[in-house]
Amino acid sequence: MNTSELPMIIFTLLSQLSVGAFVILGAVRLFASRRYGKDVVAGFTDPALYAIGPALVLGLAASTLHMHDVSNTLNVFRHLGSSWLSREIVFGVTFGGLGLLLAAAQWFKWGSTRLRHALAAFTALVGLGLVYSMSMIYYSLPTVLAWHTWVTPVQFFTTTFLLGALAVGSAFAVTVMWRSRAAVKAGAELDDNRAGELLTTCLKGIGLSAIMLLGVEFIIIPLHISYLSAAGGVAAESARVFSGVWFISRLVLVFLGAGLLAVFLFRYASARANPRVLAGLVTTAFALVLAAELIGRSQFYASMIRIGI
Amino acid sequence: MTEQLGFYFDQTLCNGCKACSVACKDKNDLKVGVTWRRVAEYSGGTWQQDGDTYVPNVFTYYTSMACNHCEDPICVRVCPTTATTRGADGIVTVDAGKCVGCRYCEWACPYSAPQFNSETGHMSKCDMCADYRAEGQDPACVAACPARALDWGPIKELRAKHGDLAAVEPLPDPSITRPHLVITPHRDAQPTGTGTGALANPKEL
Amino acid sequence: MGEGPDGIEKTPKWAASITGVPADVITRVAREIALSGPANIAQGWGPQRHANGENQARAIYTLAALTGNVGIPGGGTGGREGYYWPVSDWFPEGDNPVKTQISVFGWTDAIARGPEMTALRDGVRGKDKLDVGIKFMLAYAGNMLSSQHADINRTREILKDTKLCEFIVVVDNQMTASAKMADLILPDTTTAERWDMAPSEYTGETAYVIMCEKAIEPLFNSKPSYEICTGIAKKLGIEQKFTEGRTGEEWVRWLHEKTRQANPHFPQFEQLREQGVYRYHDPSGHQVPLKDFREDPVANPLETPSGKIEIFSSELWAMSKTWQFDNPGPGDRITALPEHVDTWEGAVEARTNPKYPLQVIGHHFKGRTHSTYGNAAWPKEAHPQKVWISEIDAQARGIANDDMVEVFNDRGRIRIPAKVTARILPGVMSVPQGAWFSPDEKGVDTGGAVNTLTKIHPTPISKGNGQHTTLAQVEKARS
Repeated sequence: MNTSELPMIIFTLLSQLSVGAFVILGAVRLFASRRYGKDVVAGFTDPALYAIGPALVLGLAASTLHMHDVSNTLNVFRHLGSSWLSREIVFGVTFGGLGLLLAAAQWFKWGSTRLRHALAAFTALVGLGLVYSMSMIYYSLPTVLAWHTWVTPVQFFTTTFLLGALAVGSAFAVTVMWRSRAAVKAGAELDDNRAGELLTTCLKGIGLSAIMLLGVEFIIIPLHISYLSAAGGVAAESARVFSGVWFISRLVLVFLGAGLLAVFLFRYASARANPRVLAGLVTTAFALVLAAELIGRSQFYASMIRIGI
Repeated sequence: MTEQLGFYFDQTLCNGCKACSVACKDKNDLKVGVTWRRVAEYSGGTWQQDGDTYVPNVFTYYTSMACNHCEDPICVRVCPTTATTRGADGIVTVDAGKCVGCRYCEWACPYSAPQFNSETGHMSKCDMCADYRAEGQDPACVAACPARALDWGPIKELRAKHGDLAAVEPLPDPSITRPHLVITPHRDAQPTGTGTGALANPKEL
Repeated sequence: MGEGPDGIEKTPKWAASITGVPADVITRVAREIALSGPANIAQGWGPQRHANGENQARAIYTLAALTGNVGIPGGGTGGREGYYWPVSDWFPEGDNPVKTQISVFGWTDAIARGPEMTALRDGVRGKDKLDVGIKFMLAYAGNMLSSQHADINRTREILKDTKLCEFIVVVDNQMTASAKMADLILPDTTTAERWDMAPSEYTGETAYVIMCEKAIEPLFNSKPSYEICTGIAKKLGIEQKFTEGRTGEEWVRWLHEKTRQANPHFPQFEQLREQGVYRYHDPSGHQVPLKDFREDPVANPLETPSGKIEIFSSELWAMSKTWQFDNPGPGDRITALPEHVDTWEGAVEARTNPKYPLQVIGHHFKGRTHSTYGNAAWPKEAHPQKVWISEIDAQARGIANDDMVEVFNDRGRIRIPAKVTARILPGVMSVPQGAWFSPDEKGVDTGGAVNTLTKIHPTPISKGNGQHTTLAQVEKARS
């Protein structure tokens, strides 16, 4: 497994996870608020929102390890005109900044709900721009054949929503589990089963999304490999990276997490379901898929074989 | 406009001695691991066996490559800090005062021209010995070649004199970055992209 | 053609089977050489450095003679390249009162079993038998003790036995593996730290002399060899006789002036310091070796017993009757004709040796001059030591290009990366000669010196080195 690009692996996965989680969170809040009321939804989703920040910050910190002279860092904004890396950094910093602003606004109740919704929507767009520009860094290199295909942005977005969905689902399920445990300890019944219903709906949606995104991965991965192999030369050499024990493990892990467990999740999620079991299912699925994505991203970097000399 | 400079390489004369490579390292005091001019060996072919005898059908040739100071340099395109720029004379240089060592240009360049220096944390590369040229001298590699296989000068002149060929295997398609390079090909030179042989010394590049 | 003692018809087909070159190619090349008008066949130094290499060298001379190329312009004797010998005066060698001689390659035998060496068995000259072996050795700038001589492991064994050679002095400016065998190291200077002049070699009809002016004072207590010898001469009470009253610089000036007196076209010493190099040409113009002999062989006989080119050598015929070989194996015989002789560890044995089926040669390497610069970081980076293996042989052993491999035989084992290439004949490997011997704790040479594998087996006539005749095996390195 290629660990020389570990900072990049961590940065790209965590930042994509953050964007995916943010977008899905936003979608949940938008649609669920109508049915369950914004307070319930806020109480349910806020912890997840606050968890995204640290994930993104950790990712950004990892990315600085990829640089070898951080004293010149402020120069990285100079080449927006042609460098996707410049653009990605702008998107990343803006996304982080706006996300922080939003979290603070949510915590301190700044501005109206509509204003905060608008800010959230804008932040989500910036986040998607981050994932797009990140994928373009790699896609735009005609000299690296394994990256110079539409599979790159498709895979990046798939990872974004796969990790984002399962991260959000885990956050939801764990939140509900803690609250029900606290309620049981306090000897009180959870007075409101709307949280349970909301969780059910979310987890069913997340399970379904995971299965669909798994389907996407299982289509684009073989397509990518066969395209590279057929091209011969350097492309075929890159394709050979996607083989062996690690590659098989990646497929097995993502199948178990986004396939098997997602199916269980979909079928088991209900208002009467045991919160601990739900939390166990979705966090396990998240862990398996995260492991798969770690391997996948690592092999992505390992497939970096340039044409020429 | 100032004349755009480039390199000329007579592949029929190169025997892979790497005097050019070592002369450059000496002049620029480059440590082991940072090599601004590299020499690739490309070989292929087969042996026919008939009982105890063998008939060879084998080819091999060398390509000496530093930076081609390309017309459309991909390193300049991708650099986030504008540390890598192209001068009026076409020479591409790295400004260590801006470089963050992200190594994006290293990923991009199909000639491995930008070389990462782990001691300084910056990228570094051939500048066609700007200081020597300012004094009317040849770049170190050109002066060192015992076969006189290297030359430099305004790319227009080099092309007028030696033609337009800018790539053979193992070099990439020249339309990607439009290198300021003219090659007189070895008699066995394989056209770029045909993959009829293989790079024999990848670890030395 | 089958009428000789062995009854074998020496046809191209017969040769094809031994050489690996198809019969029709042999026929074609033979005709090309014979029919192309004057043909110059220059054998260089390589063919002689094989087991029974003398016959190979002689065969090439014979080819030149048979095709009528001796003594004509554009032809050649079949020898190695000749050149106009520079006229520069050399530092006088003096007169060695000891007339007994052994072959250069015989030095390890002279240490190990000197008193056994005889004229008839070991080629000793000036005496029928050595009385004593080598007890003291001064090895200067040769890296002979653990690099350039055959069978490094055996050589080191011989050297380490202080009952044999009792004292070894090495004079060098690099800490070579050979220097590490010394009882005493006297550090020499490099070119920049002493005065010298360098006349030309191998330069055709041109000759030159290069001024090697001392640029800096010697570093770290090193001394030029002239000063070392002066110091030794002083201790021996013969300083004046040795130096003739001159310092190193004075000798250079004096020798140059002597040259200039005999050859007035040479520049003055101070002028030469300015220009650095002085080139001049053979005043006789283009030289054709043995031209006079060709034009009038009677008036200009050769130095052979008959005065003619002796394809059948009467001298060697006599030697083949009197010279002795202990336990002669294939290749250990002297033939009056330059016959092909199958030898120990040769091409024919390779085919039937299941343990060591691959031949090993040691070509001269771009990254070094023999072993000089073999410890310098940049040349090592530019030209890493690798063993050349054919794609066919590598594939059969699961070896890929740049894989770490071990090449070995009964005499030693080396570990270096493999250069898997189409550029070498299947059945042959080449380990570039001159890599610095570097044994690990198990005795495996990680520097990759070819002489870890070669054999101390003197050739039959000159008792010289057959270091391109070696058999070995190769495998992927474990761990």
